[in-house]
Amino acid sequence: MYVYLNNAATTKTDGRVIFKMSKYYSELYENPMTSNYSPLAKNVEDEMEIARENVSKLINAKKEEIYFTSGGTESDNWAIKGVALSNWDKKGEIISIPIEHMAIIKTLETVKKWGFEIKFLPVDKYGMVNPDDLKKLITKKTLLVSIMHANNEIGTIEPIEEIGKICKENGVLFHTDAVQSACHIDIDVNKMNIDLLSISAHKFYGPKGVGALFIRNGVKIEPFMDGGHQENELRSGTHNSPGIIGLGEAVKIAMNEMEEERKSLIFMRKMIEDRINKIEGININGHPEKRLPNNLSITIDRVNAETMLTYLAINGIIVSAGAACSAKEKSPSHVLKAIGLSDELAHNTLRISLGKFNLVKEIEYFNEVFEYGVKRFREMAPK
Amino acid sequence: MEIYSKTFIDHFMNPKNIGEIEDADGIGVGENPDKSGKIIFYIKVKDNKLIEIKYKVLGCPSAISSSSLISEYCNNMLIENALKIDKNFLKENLGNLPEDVLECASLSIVAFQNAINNYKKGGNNGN
Repeated sequence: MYVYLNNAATTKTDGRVIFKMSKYYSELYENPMTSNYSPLAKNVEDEMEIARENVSKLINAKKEEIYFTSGGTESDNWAIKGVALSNWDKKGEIISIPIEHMAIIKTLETVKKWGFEIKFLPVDKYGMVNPDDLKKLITKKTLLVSIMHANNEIGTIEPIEEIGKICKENGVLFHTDAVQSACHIDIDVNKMNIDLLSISAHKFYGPKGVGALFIRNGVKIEPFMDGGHQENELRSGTHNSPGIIGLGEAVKIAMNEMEEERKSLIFMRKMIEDRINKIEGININGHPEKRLPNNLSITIDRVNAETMLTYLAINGIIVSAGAACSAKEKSPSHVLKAIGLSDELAHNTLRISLGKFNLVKEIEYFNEVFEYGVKRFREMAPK
Repeated sequence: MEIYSKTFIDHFMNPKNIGEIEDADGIGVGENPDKSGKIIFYIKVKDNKLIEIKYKVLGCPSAISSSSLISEYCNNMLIENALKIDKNFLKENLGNLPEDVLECASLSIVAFQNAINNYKKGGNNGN
C-alpha cells in the first residue's frame, strides 16, 4: 500500500482538473493575448476569465481584483515587494510573524535590505497571534501587515478577521498568505478586511506552477514582473493558460466539495489522534481547535522524526519532518522554534497532512505501522 | 528506496545486536550537542578481542544503520583494529552517503571508540 500523507507539501492533481487542462495544451494552445482576432485564442481567454471569476467567488472578491501568478511564492513576493516599491521614497514599516512561510520571511529580508523596517509580532505556544499586540505595534510609519491565514507546519489558523479590522482602522494594508487555507476553509476578503491575498493551485488538487494574488481595487502596488501587457499591465509574461484554467477548475470543484471534504478530513485526522492519544509521550502541536482540518503535527518523545519518516517511507507511507538532520538545512524549523520547542523536540516532530484522496483503510494502515514504529524505536533508544 | 543502499536499509530496518551488556568491560557514549541523538555502546573484551558488542541508539537512520554495521563488523576484531574504523569505512559499507548524513552516522564511531577507550582505561563507567 502507498499512503500519501504529505498533502500540505503538495496534492495530487484532481483527474477532472487534468481533463479540463489537457485541451488547452493539445487544441486550444493559442496565446489569449491574440483573442481580438483568433477565435481559438478567444476561447482560451474566455475560459481564463471563468477561472478568474471562480477565484473571485471563492474569496468574495471582484473578478478584476484577481491576478494570476506562478504560485504562492510569487504571490507573496509580489505582495510585499510590490507594496514596498510603491512606497520607495518614504520607506516605512512592515509587520509580520516569525512563523510565516519562507516565501514571506526571505522576502522580508530582501525588503529590509531596501531600507524598510521589519517588525515581528510574537506568537504563543500554539503559534497564535494576539491581535492586541498588533494594535500596540502599529505606528504611523506602518505600511503593511502580512500575517498568514493558516500555518503550514502546525495548522494553526490565525485570527485574521480581527487583524484585518485593526489594519483597516489604522489605514494599513493587510496581506495574508492563504496558500494552506484557500479551498480548505472559508475566506471572505471583505468580512476579513484583506487587501492582498496569495493562493497556490497545487495545494488544492490543482496544477503546480500557478497561483493568484488578490489585489483589492485601489491598492497601490508596483508590478513585480516587467514585460508585456498581461494581467492589466501588472503581471507580465505569457499566461500559463492551461494552468490558470486548471486552477479555476480546482477552485470550482473545491467550492462544491469543500464542506464534505472538511468533514472527511476531520474524521480521518480524529482516527489518528485517537490512536496517538493512547500512546504515551506524544504531543500534538498547534491550536487544539483553531486549526486546519488536514494537519496533524506531532512531537514524539524518544523517537527521532527522521528515523520515523524513513521507516514510514520504507513501509510506503509519506509524511514530513520538522527538522531533517540529513537535509541541507541543518537547523530545525523556525516555526517549531518560534512556538517554543527545543532543538531536541523539533528533531522529534512529524507532520501528517491528509488529503481528499486518502482512504480510511490507509489511515488504519498508518496507525498500525506508526504505533509499531514508536514502540520499536523507543525500545532501541537509551533510557 | 533509492535514497539509501540496500545494506543501509537492511541495517536500519533490522538492526543487529541491539541491547545492553550488564557486565560490560567498556561503555561509551556519543551524543549530539543539541541532544537530538544519543548512542551508547557496550563491549565485552577477551584477549584484546571484542567478543560481544551491543548498543542502544536514539537518532537518525544513519545513526541506527552505522551502529548496527559496527556491531556486526567489529565482532571478534582486535581492539587496536577496531579503533581504526572511520568515516570511510561507513562510506564503503553503507553506500555513498552524503557528507552531512555521514556526519550524523559518525556519532556511532564516537560512541564505539569511547567504549574501547573506556575499556583500556580500566573500563565500565559510561554514563
